[in-house]
Amino acid sequence: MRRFATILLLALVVTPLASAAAKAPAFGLRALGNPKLGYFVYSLSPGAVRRGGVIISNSGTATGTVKLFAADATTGSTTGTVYLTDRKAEHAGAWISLAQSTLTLKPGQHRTVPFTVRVPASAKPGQWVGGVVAETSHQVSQPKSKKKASVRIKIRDLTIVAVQVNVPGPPVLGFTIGGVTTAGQRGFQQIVTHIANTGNVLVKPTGTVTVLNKQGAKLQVLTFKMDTFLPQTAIAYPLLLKKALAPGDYSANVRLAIPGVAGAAARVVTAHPSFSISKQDVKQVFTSAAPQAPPPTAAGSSSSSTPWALIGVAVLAALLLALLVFQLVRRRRTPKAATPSSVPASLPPEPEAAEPEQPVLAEAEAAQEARQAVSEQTRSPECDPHHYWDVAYDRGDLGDDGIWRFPHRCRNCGLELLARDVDDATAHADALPA
Amino acid sequence: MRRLLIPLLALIAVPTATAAFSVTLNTTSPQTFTAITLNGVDQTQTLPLSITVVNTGGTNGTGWSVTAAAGAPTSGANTLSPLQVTAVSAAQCTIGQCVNPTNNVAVPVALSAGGAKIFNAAAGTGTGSVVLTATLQMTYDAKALPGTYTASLTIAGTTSP
Repeated sequence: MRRFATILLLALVVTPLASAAAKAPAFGLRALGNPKLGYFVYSLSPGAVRRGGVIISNSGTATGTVKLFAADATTGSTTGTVYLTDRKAEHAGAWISLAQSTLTLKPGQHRTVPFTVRVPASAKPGQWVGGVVAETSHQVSQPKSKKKASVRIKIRDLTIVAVQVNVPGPPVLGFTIGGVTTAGQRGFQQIVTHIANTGNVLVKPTGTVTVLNKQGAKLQVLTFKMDTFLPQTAIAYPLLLKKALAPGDYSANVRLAIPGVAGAAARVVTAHPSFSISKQDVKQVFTSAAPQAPPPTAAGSSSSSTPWALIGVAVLAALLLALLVFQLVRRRRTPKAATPSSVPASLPPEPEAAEPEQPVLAEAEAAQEARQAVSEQTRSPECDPHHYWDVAYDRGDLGDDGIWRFPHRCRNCGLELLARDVDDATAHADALPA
Repeated sequence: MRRLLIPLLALIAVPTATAAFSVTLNTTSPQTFTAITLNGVDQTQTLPLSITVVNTGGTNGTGWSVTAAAGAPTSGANTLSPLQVTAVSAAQCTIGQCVNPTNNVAVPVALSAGGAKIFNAAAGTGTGSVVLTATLQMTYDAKALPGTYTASLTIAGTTSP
């Protein structure tokens, strides 16, 4: 009992230390004097100067340094305002100068950082957008893994407040529609329309894309409602097709309705581009294999705005640990006859879970051998050792469920069936009676 | 009386001043997808990203959005397919009388260096604190070459027109 009490005490002491290790800053940003809109809108003539400020706060649990800078805004690929934060500002972002480029704040502390907007004398009339960016300077590293990495993703998190500058002048509504292509992966086929806002105002267009076959018959109509489209920007706008298109020649009727803004009437822009879908395009969309199991989720070591949640989890973990230890102590005290047969000490230790030390290609070979070994035991002799599927992508069959299935024929056993992809074919083949 | 007034003013001023909009990544950086065995067909792996968005103090007249930008993973001259965000879910909001975000961003979204919206809170929604879980998908084409690939992902929370 004394041992149990000691362990419980240790657990309670150690747990707060462990949770303390997860402390991190969390920086917030607020547009000073603009609580309703949440960002800045200034009407400034060319050559004008305006001063503003952002409130930076640290709502995290540790002292940290925030990096402050200005960035240009552009239109995101699915529309909406996004910021070019990995390059030097050249447009509206370059008009913004911040009084400080870094700031260190304790938890709960906040500071106002002034900025100045200087509109160049050469600025053209229109609505131009830049942003004030707050980036947490520290990066929390994951504990080093022995596993061989194939893709390593470095992640930054930013908070951005927009600075919209309206330079007086006549508003211009102008859009151009370019070509149409198709794209997509893993069963999601998309039609991609190239669209540019050649005007000088922010707009949220709506529209339709009507897909026609070679003979001009209507195949499907896709409607869309765009988010903010910034002036003098262009995007490749993707829309998910309701039903996949087979290889062939098509055309699209693209209709873009642009709402009117003060001084400029609403207008409609149309285009009728042609496009083709190759067998390779279809293959790219429909031959993907099933998703792999996701890697383990990383523990939230970064900041949480509610440290009580962390403390709660820590206490719960401590109690669970204590319960586990208590159970172990109890088990030790029970008579030996009641314990399950013990494992011989001479047994080799279990290998570490999935620690691939070999190069990826070597792994591929090993896995191939393993699969062969399994298949030799389980597959029918006609298809020894594998199915090798030949797929006729030009003879696809569009099901009522909107999914394309293609004839698959095994080179080894001659088995023929319709399947989405080779994995689907293998699954169907395995399900067939021997 | 003046002695009392100053602390009282401080109490009133601090909540207003600390009202903020912030986006914090709960997932550590860098993240590593475990090694995959290339087998001649397309394969995918997914990675959940946890993001906390806190929006307190303002009336949130225009809402907010979360954007993601990433170039395709590269290893020397070799490149993999662009990363995709295939799902984003929001947990129940917390902190005070919060309002859950109303999202109208459709997924999947293929990421590019330019960036794209992956989630938004419509005007008047998304107050308080909300934890988002975004599913990041990595695709290995059938013709992908072995190697250690790297990419940079930028998650940004914005209040913008």
